[in-house]
Amino acid sequence: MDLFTVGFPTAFSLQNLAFCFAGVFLGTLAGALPGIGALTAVTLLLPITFHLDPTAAIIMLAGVYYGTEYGGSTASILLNLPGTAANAVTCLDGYPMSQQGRAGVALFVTTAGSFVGGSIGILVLLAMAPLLVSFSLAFGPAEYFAIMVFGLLASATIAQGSPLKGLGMVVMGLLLGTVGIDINSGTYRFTFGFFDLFDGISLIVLAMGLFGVTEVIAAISEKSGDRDRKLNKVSLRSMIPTREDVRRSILPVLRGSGIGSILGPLPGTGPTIASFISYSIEKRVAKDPSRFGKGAIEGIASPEASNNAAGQTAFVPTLLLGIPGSATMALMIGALMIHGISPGPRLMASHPEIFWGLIASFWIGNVLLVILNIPLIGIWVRLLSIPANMLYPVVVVLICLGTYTATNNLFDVWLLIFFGIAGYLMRILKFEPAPVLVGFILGPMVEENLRRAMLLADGNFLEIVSRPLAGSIIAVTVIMAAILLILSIKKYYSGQAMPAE
Amino acid sequence: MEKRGVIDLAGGGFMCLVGLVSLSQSFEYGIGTASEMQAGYFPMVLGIIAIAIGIGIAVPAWSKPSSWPSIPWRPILAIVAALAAFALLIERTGMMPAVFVTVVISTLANPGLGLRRILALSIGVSLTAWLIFSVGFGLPIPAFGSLL
Repeated sequence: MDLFTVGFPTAFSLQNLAFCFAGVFLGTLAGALPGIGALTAVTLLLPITFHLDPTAAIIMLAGVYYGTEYGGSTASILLNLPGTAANAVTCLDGYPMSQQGRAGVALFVTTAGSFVGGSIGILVLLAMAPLLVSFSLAFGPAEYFAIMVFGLLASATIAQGSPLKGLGMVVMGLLLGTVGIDINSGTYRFTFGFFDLFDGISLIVLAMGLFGVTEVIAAISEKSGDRDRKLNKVSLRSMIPTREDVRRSILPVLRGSGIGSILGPLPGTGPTIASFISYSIEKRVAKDPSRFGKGAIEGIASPEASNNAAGQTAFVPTLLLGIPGSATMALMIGALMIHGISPGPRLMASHPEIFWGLIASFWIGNVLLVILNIPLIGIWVRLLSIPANMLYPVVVVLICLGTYTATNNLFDVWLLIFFGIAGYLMRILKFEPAPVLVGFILGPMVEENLRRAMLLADGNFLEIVSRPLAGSIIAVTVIMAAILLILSIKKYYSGQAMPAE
Repeated sequence: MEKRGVIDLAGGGFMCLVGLVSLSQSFEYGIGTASEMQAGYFPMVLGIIAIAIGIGIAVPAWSKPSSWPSIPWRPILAIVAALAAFALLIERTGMMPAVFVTVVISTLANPGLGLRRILALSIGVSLTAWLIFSVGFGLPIPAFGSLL
C-alpha cells in the first residue's frame, strides 16, 4: 500500500521528522498552557509554515494539532485548568486523582489512552480514505456546494453559543472571503479604496487577529486564581499504573476511540464534543457511576482516547473532500492552499507524498508524543509553574512577528489590530469567532461551486435539489436546520435565556 | 442595571448593518441572473441572509432584560497599544527595539510583574526573536533600523 511505499519514506526524511517533532513539541507545550488551545497554537505557527515546503508544513501543523490533545491533559490533571477545551472533561476525574496523590498514574493513563485512540483513529482513516475518494468522484459542483453548506451550518451551530449567532459569523466569514478581486469578472469587491485589499484579506491576518489577539486579551482578563501554585513533582515511578487501573481502562479506551473515530470526520463535531460524549457514555455504562467526579480512571481514559481519535479522523474530510469540520481544520486547508495545493479527492493521486506522508507522520508523531509525555513529563510540570504574565507578552510578539513576516506589509499589521479589536468586541457580544474562519476559507469555493452548479442547471435551483446526491445532502442540511430551529424556539418559550455563554 | 437585551440587540444590529452594507455594495458590482452570476450576486444573497439573522437575533432580545457586559479595558488597551507600537516601530527602528517595546507595553496588561522581570523578559524575547526570525529564518528585517 502507498502508505509504506510513499508515506513512511516521506515521513522519515530528516526534514519532515524534524518538523514533526517540532510540531508535536510545540503542540504539547501549547496544549499544556491553559488559555492556548489547538486553534490558537496552529494560528500562531501558521506563518512559519510559509517558509517550509508543503509536506513539512502540514506535518508540523498536524503535529501541533494532535499534540495539544496530549499536552492539555497535563494542565487539567495537575492544575484543574483545562489546557484545551477538549481536555476540560479530564479535569473532572483527573484533578481528584491528582489530589489523591495519583497524578502520575492519571498522566500515564491519559497518554497511553491518547496513543491508543490516535492509533485507532489512524487505522479508521486508512480504511475510510479509499471509500471516501471513490464516493466523492461522483461529486459535481452541486454536490460540493451542498456539502459545503452542510459543513458550514454544522460547524456554526453545533459548537457552543447561539446557533443563530454562529450562523451570523459564518456569513461574516463568507463575506470577508469575497473581499478583493473577483476572479470571474475582475471586479474589486469590498476594498473601499484600500489598495492593499485588492488581493483579499490574508488568512494569517484574519486568524491572528480573531484568535491570537482576542485569546490573549481574553486570557488576561479571565485570569483566575494564583498561578504560583505549588506543583508536586511527578516521578517516573509514580506513573506506573496498577493492574487494576489497566483492567479498568481497557474498555473505556476502546469505547472512546470508537466514539472519537465516528465523531471526528463529522463536520461540527470534533475532539471537544467527542470527549464530552465519551465521558457521559462511560458514566452511563459504569457499574458504579458514583465514582465519577472523584477520581474514576475511566473518566479520563475514555475522553482522552476519543479526543485523539477524533483529532486524527478529522483529517479525512478535510484532506479528501476539502471540507473542514472545524475552524482548526479550516486552517489546515488554508495552509495547504497557501502552498497552492487544494485538498480534495485528487489529493491522494496528485500529491501522494503529502497525503501518505502526513498519515505516516501521525503515527510517528504519536510515538514521539508518548516519549515526550511519559519520561519527559518533568519538563511540562516545571513549565506550568511559569507565571502566565510572562507568557502573554511572548504570544503578542509571536502574533506581531508572525503577521509581519508573512506579508512584510505594515498594512496587514494594522488590519490585524482591526480584527483583534473587532474579534474581541464580537466575543463581548457573545459571538464565537471560530465559524468566521470556516466561512472565510470556504467562501470562495462555495461561491465558485454555486456559480458552476447554477450555470449547469441553467439558473434553476430546483434542478440542483433533484440530483440524488446533492438533493440528499441538502435534505439532511434542512432537517438539521429545522431541528436546531425547533430546539431554540423551545428554549425561548420555556423561559430559559437564549443560549448565550 | 436592566436594559432590554443590550448584548443581543447590539449583535443583531451589527448583523443587520453588515447585511445592509453588503447588499448596497452588491448592486454596484452587478447582480446578473442566477445562471450567470456577476460579482454582486453572492454578496447580495449573503447580505439578505445577514439581515435576516440580525433580525432573528435582535427581535427576541427586545423582551429579555440583561445588563451591560463588563469590558476589561486594561488588557484591551494594553494589547492594542503594544500591537500599535510594533506597527509604528518595526520599520523605523528595526526588530530589536520594536519587540522590546512591544513586550514592555504588553506587560502593562496585567500588572504584577516586577521591573526586573519585565526587563529580563523584554531583552530575552528580543534576542530570541532576532535569533529565530532573522538568523534562523533569514528574514530581511534589520535588527536595528534607520533611526538608530
